[in-house]
Amino acid sequence: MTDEVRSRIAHLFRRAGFGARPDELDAAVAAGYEATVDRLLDLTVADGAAVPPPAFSPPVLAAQLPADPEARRRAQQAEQKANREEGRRLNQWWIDRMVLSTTPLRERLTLFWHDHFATSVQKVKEPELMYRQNEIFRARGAGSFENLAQAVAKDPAMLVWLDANENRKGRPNENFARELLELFLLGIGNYTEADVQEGARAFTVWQYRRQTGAFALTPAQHDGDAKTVFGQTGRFGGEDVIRMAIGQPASAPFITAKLWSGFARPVGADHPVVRELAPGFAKDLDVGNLVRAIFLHPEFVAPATRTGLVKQPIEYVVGTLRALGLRAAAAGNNLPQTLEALGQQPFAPPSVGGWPPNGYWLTTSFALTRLRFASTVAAKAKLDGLASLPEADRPAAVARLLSVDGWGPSSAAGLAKVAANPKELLTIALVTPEYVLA
Amino acid sequence: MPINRRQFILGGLGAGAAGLVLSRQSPGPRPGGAAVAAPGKDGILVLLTLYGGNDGLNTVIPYESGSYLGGRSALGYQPDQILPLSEGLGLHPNLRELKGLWDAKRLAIVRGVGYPNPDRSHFRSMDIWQSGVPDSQVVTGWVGRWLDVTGSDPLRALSVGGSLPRVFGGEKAAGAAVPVGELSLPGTPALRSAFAPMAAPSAGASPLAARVAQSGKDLLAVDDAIAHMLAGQPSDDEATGSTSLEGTGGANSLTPQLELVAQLVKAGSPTRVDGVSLGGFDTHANEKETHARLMGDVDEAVGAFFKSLEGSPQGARVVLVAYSEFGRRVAANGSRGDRPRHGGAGVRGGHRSEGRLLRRRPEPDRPRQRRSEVHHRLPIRLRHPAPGCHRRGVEGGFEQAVRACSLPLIPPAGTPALVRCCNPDRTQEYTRRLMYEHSCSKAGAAGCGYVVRANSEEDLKTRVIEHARRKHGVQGMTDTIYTYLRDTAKKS
Repeated sequence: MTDEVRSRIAHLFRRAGFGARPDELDAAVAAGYEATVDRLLDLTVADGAAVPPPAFSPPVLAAQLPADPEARRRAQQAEQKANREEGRRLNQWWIDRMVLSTTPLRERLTLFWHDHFATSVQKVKEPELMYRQNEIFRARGAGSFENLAQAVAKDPAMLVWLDANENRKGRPNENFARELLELFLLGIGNYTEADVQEGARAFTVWQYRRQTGAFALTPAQHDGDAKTVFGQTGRFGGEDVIRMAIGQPASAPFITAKLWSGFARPVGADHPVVRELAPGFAKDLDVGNLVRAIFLHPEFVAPATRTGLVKQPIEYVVGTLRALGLRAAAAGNNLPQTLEALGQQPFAPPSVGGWPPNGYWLTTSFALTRLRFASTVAAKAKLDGLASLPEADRPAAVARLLSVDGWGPSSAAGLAKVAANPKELLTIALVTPEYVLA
Repeated sequence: MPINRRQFILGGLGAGAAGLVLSRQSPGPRPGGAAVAAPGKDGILVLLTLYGGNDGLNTVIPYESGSYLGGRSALGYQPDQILPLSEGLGLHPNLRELKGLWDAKRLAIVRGVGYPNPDRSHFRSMDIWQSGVPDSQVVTGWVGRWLDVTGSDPLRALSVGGSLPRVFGGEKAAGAAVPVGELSLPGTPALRSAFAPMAAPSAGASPLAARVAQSGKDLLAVDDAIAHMLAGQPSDDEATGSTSLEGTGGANSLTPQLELVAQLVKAGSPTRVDGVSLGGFDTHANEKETHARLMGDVDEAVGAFFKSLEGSPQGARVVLVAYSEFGRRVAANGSRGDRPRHGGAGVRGGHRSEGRLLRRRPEPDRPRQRRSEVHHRLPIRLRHPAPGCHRRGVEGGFEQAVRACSLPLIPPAGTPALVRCCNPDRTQEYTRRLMYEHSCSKAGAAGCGYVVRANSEEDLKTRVIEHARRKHGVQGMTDTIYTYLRDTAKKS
């Protein structure tokens, strides 16, 4: 039974955070499952990891650019170069923050919402805007879903990402309204084309002003006329459309299914567990309460759930660094490239749909990058403890180090072949199915 | 007349859906029959996915159309900028290499490609093209289903890049994803010797755990094979003084992908389908400049790819197909970017000779029609004019290309069909063409006139086994004997 409790709590740590170190797991087993859920969910405490964000240079406004075309081109190139460097530092900052965090669920939720409201620096360009969006997810990610959605809708990175600046009265750009309903709030099939077209008018002109770095609504270009959205007619603004969309019966199951899929295993909005949990979420729209309900649900610790997710690359990298007591720099200067080669570069999801789960990460190419990453960090890790053990005991010790329950026959056979060499043993352990699954 | 080998087909031309098919002196079409390929003889399909919804009306441009000129004021091109083809159509000014291919009669255009009730979601549209089915429950891709029925060698379908597009995923089998850069495994031989047993299938492993193991197993197989094939192959980069496959990439990410494919093709890779992609076509705002750059990227990469295959016997087997999820509306919106609207993607080769327009183009709307949607007109040059059939689905779109490569299009179990042309007569015609066939005389049983066709190889196998038991007294025919018969039949 103790093994089962230990296994469940290790699973909880993997899903609610980035895995547990052996001493952390020992303490949590002593405290019990529910107490550990409470502790992980207590986000009133500040994160003990003090990792300062990188410094950002102010955006260069068009008016500040030199008039001479050649000088102008050089100034723009210089800005692009500065942005790339800031982007690299921002990447490293978040990885380190996740690695050192004492409130890992907050970072997990930040990552979850980044995937949900997927926005990419590729188009946004300014890393500072990505940082500001990231802070919205961190500050509001466990509270009211409506507050979160309203804040994201006015977030400069999102406004740039979905062309809000281009959405004008009489010439609407439907991009934001369409993704809002399809991907952020309701899911496909739960709204009409007319809802998108009318909804888009309510968001004219929600702008990001580079001059002030803030959200602004330009009244002259805003369409203040009556719109008909979800069967209701009124002089709705964007906030109304968001509120009405979240009030649609399909919204709570959509968001519940998304959270269950992210923390437990992928399911559709019609899955029984979603039908069970969605009404509670519809009442208070409180993400923290829903996440607690997910962790305490019997299905969460069922075998299908425990083997139902593959670690996303960010989880994989952060979890590995945490387990080995390393920081982002240990993975070499090219951690951003490693994450890119693993398919999940922070702040650069492949599309507004975010990153697909599970099978998406199981390609031969990602398998190769995982092996390379494993080999790099194994070379950096201090493995004296492992080396001091008899060879026969080492595979079990690596399992404990990585908070894996144990090894199946294939992995055990592979690990036995390299038990003499702790670094190679760790490398193989890091690419086993047991470890690659979340 | 089916398209020939060594062709380039550009689809995904969106609102104004069209495709380009290109070919040159090439062997005639392979006779129908068994769909399982003979290595070294069948075509190689290179699938180029243009992610984001390519603006078809600015790719193959109806430059004489009043609706185009009127509706596309800021986004459009003037007639003197366009590379003229015929019938009032021309190529985007940056598609100079493709124009050269057209002039060399290696390019033909397919128009009016789409699927019923177009979905304007990028995700749903791409799902439909890649699964080949308008049913959201289907998660397998049309290439993946071919992999499912033809064995487990991960080398048969390679996607260049880290992630594997849905089109390459089957129920059980999946194509391999190969990175553009260095392919070899790190570590010592000892590490490698531990990797192999670790990646062996484990009894009782969960489905996802089994897939993790499989990805490792496939990696070993691909690493072995590709390292072997590329050993001794002169890299195109060496000629230009560059040091790696990624070295020449620069801003054009398609070029190194196609360079890798060209190297593998020339090295005699058994791969039958290669996937490459270019993203960024979701050019909502400031469309014209971005789209022009992307057109230039496609043109440069594809032009270099075909040049690199010149003179290679393996290169003569290549058919390249490009597609995108949908096109763009005729009218520009307020953001100098236009919105996804009707207009499909996908391609097929035509029954007309190369260097010709294969289907009548979809016309931009008359101005009075709401929201400037493009409607595809009835095809007037189809051999079987089909009233009401104004779009070609995945099957219609990819059909000629995959037939030229002897790849079958296999509908997923439990669904009615691939996205088909809506006319039932043509549906039947496609079905007939895509059957599996066994002929006893071809398999070496002289004097037995038994010929049987089936929709799937499983089905065919069942019938052949039954026939062999009754007529030839073969009891307990095994897969090995069946495979022997099949391969013998193919060689005859």
